[in-house]
Amino acid sequence: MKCQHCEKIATFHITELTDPEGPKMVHLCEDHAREFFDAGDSVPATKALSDLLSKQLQLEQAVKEIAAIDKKKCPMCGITFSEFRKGGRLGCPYDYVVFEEDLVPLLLNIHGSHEHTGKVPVHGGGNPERQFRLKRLRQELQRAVETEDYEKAGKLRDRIRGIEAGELELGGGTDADLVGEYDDSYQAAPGNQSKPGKSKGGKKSGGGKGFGESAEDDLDDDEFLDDSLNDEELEQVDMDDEDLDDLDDGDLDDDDLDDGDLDDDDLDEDDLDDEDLDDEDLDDEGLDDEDLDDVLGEDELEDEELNSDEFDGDDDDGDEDEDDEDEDDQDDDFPGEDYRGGKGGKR
Amino acid sequence: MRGEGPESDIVMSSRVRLARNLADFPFIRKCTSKDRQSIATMVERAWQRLECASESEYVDVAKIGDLDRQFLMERQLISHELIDAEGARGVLLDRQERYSIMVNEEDHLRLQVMRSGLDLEEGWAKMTQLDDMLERELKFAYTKRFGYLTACPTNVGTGLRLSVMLHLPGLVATKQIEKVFRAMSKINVVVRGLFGEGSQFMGDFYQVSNQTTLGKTEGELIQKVKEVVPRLIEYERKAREHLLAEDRGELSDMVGRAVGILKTAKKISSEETMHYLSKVRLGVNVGLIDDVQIATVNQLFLQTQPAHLQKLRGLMSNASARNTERANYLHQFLNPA
Repeated sequence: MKCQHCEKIATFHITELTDPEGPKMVHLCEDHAREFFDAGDSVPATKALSDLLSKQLQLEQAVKEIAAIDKKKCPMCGITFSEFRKGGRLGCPYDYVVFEEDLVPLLLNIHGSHEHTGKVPVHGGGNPERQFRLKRLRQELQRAVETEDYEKAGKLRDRIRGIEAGELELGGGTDADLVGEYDDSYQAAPGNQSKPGKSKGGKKSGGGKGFGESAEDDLDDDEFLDDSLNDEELEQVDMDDEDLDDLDDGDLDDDDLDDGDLDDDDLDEDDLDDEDLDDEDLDDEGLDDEDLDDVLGEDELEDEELNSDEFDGDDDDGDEDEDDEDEDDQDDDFPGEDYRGGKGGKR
Repeated sequence: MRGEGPESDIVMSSRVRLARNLADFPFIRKCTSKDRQSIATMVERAWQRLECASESEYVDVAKIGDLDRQFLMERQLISHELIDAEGARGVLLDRQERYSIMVNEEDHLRLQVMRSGLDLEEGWAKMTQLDDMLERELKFAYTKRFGYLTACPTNVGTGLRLSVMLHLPGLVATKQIEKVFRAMSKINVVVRGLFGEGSQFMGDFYQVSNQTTLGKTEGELIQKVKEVVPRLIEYERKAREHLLAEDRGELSDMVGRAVGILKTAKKISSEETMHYLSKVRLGVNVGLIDDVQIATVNQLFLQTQPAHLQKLRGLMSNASARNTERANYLHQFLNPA
């Protein structure tokens, strides 16, 4: 039913008892219902109704909000908040970032608190946001190499290294400028500091890959780089690259931004925060590597050694991956678990 | 259940459990079988690089047989959930059974340290040491706000669950136990059965644990559980005193019947055994039985469980055969020649 005063759907059906001509039904949309009650605010009876209405509106708002929260989806593992509520178990560490504010009422209910005050990992632990960013950057690096955009590849490599070495801060920075836009569900993530509008028409970052695929991407990166880059190209990349220390706004000019994937935010002061700089990490991982074999830090190489047998057998999926990514570009969506399920034989 | 240490007639053991997850993998429910395999391999290899690797071994729970799984569960080295889980999973076992580390249970890692009697501080000291060592090799999912991230938000933060196993036959006999539980729940202390969450209250054994894991330091959580235990010990002592003073006849009858059944039954199930052993344990502890050692009773609790019995006496195809064998086994210890 339409509102009596406009084209909107009537959500309030009020029986007016004070009308001199006897009880009369009025059908109003939310806005006109508000007007209806506001107009009669001086009348005590209507005031009570107004309160009732406001409560009803709040309730409707709450229901809408819950429905919206339920639809929220983690770009990393694909779980929706609704699935979490039903199963009681989260899908991945990054869920705590994506659903951060939505989890707070629950945590307050369970623990009477939503702030950790206990032990802090001696070596800093694995920040899920960091893992997420790294995986995104690696995917983008692979893509840059595939499209022979070595300048960008070099920058991405440095950025990956910087994050791995703890040199780049995560909180205030964004990789959106480097890796294109995140999908809606990611942007909707509370606590996410990415600035979607900053990406200058950059291409979609493509497949939101789950953990397994990303790890396998790491391997593919490495193999691809070994095969496709000769020393000359490596030199070129290295020559074009400046050390992170030298990065400042001056290093990026409009030319650098031609591909639309980079903007000044990329080099925000925030990103060059030394807070996370860990001497040990630097010592361990070293920033002196010369060739693209070291695009992946030692950590990754080690992981790769460990996992090489776990993630093999997918090499021949390379083309398939590309296809999937294209599809993702079109869909403009993180496919989450469906994505995984859809990749035949990956499970 | 060694039953040693201070207040060992009531306090059986202390257990400190820590939940940890690797930052680079989804939680178990979203793990592919490859993910699980990778996690198991990574953890095992990380462990091999640690000094304490030589004092322990990795048991591949996916590969061992049902009897071995059951055996480890009866010793409380692994959980029901780990047995029921799918895919690659295992446990790193300290050969002296001071600690175990389950891999791919509800979380990627579930570390537990066991101590005799009430000894949460020492348990935590050992635990945090294990945690630190592992953390040198593995990246655990952690955020500043929520602490250590776990699959279930009930464990997030410290990931720490402290449990003290208590033997409370006096409170059961005086029907005070429910009242005590209700009081406990008001102060965020949970009471569970012998085998943890969802398990039955067998043999009058109860585990008291902290309910919350977030917003308090590990020290505060230890303090909370530790504070409760002396009160429970006091209630149990009062119940026993009351039984001795007011209902001595009833108590003697209950204990005497228990001993009689265990000494003479021709077939007995493991639940029934545990039920009567509990009464015998009470009888020994209050001085009504003097020809059975408490150590023997403690040992029988463990050895009469199905998998233990079969490890000792050979495989038995059905429960009936086991019940016969269990009765024989009990006679051997309770009817010395």
